[in-house]
Amino acid sequence: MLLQQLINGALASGIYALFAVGFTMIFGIMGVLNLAHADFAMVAAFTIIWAVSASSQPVLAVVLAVLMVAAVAVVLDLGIIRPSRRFQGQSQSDIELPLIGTIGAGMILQNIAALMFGNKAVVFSFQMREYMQWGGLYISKGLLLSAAVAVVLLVLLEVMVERTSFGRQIRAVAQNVNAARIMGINTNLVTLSTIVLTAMLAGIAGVLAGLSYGLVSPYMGGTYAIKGLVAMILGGVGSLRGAVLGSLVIGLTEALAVTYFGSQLRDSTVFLVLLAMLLLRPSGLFKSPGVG
Amino acid sequence: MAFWITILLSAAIIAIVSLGLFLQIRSGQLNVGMAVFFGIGGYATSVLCLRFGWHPAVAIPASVVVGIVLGGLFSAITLNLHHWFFAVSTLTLSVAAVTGIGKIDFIGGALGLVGVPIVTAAWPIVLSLALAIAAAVWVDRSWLGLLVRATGDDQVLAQVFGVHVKRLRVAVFALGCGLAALAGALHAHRFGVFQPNDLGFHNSLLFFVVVIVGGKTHVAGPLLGTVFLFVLPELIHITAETELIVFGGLMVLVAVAFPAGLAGAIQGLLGRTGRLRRGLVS
Repeated sequence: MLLQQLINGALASGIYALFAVGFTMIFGIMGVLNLAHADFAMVAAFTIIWAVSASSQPVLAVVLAVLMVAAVAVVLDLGIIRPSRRFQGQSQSDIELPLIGTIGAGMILQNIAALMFGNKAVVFSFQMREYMQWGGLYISKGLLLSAAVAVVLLVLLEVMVERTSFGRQIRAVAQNVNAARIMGINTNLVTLSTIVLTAMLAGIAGVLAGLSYGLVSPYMGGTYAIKGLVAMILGGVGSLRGAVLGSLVIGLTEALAVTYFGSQLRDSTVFLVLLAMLLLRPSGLFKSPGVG
Repeated sequence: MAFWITILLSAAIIAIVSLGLFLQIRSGQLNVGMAVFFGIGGYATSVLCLRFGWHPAVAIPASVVVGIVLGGLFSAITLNLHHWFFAVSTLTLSVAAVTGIGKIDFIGGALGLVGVPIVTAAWPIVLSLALAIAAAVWVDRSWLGLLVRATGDDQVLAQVFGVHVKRLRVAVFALGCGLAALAGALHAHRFGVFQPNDLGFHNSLLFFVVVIVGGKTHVAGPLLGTVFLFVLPELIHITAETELIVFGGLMVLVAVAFPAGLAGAIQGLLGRTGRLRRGLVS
């Protein structure tokens, strides 16, 4: 029983990791905590639901979802994050204005979805909720797929950040925005691209979650946001590997909590882990040179 | 008329919490989980009255003390965190608290507590609001307020100038949570019920939006925010469905154009003379 929970918890952490990586990258390169990030997942999931019910074509639905998520990400960056960053550096601790803006954006997205699809959970268009047997254990097929997809995406992401020119630009902007600009990097383009890229990761995560759990709701972003944020903090802000590791810790902790304390105390246990981490090692597991 | 009194009393309760939150945000502690401490106050007084038979007049102040102590504790634990990370920790606290409290049967489990003695008099609420305003004004306008703002603007720099940031943060956070607990207690005694949902994130968000939209730079901000966000919907009939869009839109507007919220916008309109006369530039 415990092993089964642990395995499923580890698999679920794949989905969390896709969010955590987004949070940590956005924070790393622009110092902004994007609380609307998890809502990209919701946008993707609901776009698919809408597209499938309107046209019954899965491929078209996926394409639309990708475009929709990218569009929302662009609007978020150009319309909200970039203007609110104008105020950064002035007095009155206005550095958290982008955070406030993203909270507002999240609320708007959630409410629009609720108006269009209703307040409650909706059945997702594609389901993969069956369990398969492996040895004596039951493993969720959907979570297995999610973890596999997540691993592939994360490896690709790591390769991109470490080995490609674009990745170098991202790291440069994360280390020092002004120096990057002086070196001729188009920092606005880099930040925009990063937001769109991580938004798509979140969108994929949303679809995977819909597959694995069968239900999506306009407010599903909330839980994933918290887990992604906690994973980011656990792993060390700005560090990709830290985010992945942090997600694994959360997945496993949740599995342990459910086994020993019952599913009600799952979130409280995550909170305790966060607190413990903050008390013992506030900077997280990995340090990253990119965050000031 | 009675309808308006009801609305205003509810608004007063929200204003009390918002004033506390305002002070916390001033000190750099972005508390997105204020409803938890609101809930602590409500639960404390409910438990004291229902399970221990205390009289509300004693239970309410006791709840404030509980709020102060627990708030101070939380702040002391999270001293390492600034701005965003503090916000994340309060967010996590908020989620954990709702599910955690629902598990404890002694305080009513998932259904909460009913039958809390109802206090119909309005004067406790009015008096509490007056106290909250007085406390906020005193903290904000005095030398203490300057220290708080310094800590909120740049904690390291404040330390360089000799500000005891740790003590200040804990004290301000505790005070804010005390106010929230007071409001929660009053709320419990007004409606006779208190549930885990009252600790929920949508309440925290409401308080947060009130302070941010009202303006986090001036004591009048939370009051303006309460009026704007609480009384206005009654006037122009924003439905519960579109409420989040309106609130979200206001938050975005504040982030993009009006960082100092309503209070700041009004200050801007009144021109520099107001600020010069007061001697404080915001």
